Amino acid sequence: MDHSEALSALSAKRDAEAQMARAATCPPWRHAAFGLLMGGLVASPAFGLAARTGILVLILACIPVIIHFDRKRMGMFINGYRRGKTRVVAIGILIVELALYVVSVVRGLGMGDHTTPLLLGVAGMLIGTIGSMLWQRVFVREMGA
Amino acid sequence: MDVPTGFDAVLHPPARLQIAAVLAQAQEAEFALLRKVTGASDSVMSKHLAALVEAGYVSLRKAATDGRQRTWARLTPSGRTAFGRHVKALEALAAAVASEPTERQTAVVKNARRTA
Repeated sequence: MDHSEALSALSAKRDAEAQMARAATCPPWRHAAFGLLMGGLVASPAFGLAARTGILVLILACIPVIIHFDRKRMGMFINGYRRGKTRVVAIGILIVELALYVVSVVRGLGMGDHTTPLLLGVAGMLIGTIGSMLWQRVFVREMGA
Repeated sequence: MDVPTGFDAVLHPPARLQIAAVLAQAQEAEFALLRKVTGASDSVMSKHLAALVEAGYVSLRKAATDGRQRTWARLTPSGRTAFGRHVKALEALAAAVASEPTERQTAVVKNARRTA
């Protein structure tokens, strides 16, 4: 094992990571789908028990569907909470969305305000969509693609 | 040059290192994607995967998608550890040699000491 072999091996590794990052690029609808799930969750307290339950069941049902399409489209599955710089983005999205959801629950279920959860849902959708795009940008940069 | 600590002969071939690099980032990857990334043929890829499975670094599962049987690969915890160590060994080797003086630099220093 010599210096040039080590450099060549590291270069091959970086090449593979860059190719993988390019293959993992998501179309706009995929970012929007994640945003919709987040927005739906945040807006759910605006609705009555039956509709709220239906929305939550639909969100839970959509998660494996999205994972299935990701696997089929890319030939791999990348965990959003993977180690690396993307984890900061993922946790940031989670904290903001949870905060919106808590406010939505307090306003919608605690105070009978149905408008605020809907507005927060729109905000949650936008934050989820933009967050997903940001996550991908950070991932691609980290992989050197 | 000595073999650096952490160097792993199983992960040394470039295609295997590339397979491990992809699997270290993705939770699971399909055979076709790995073949595309490495540029290896089906048979060569199968041999590399078999060697990684034998070493306990990769686990394989077969799953039907759209009526076709596909092979999915995943890095095992020991594979992840071995890959991390191997990459560190490569980086250490690359850095160490880069910081070592060249033969010419060494000769100049020796010559300077002799004449001082």
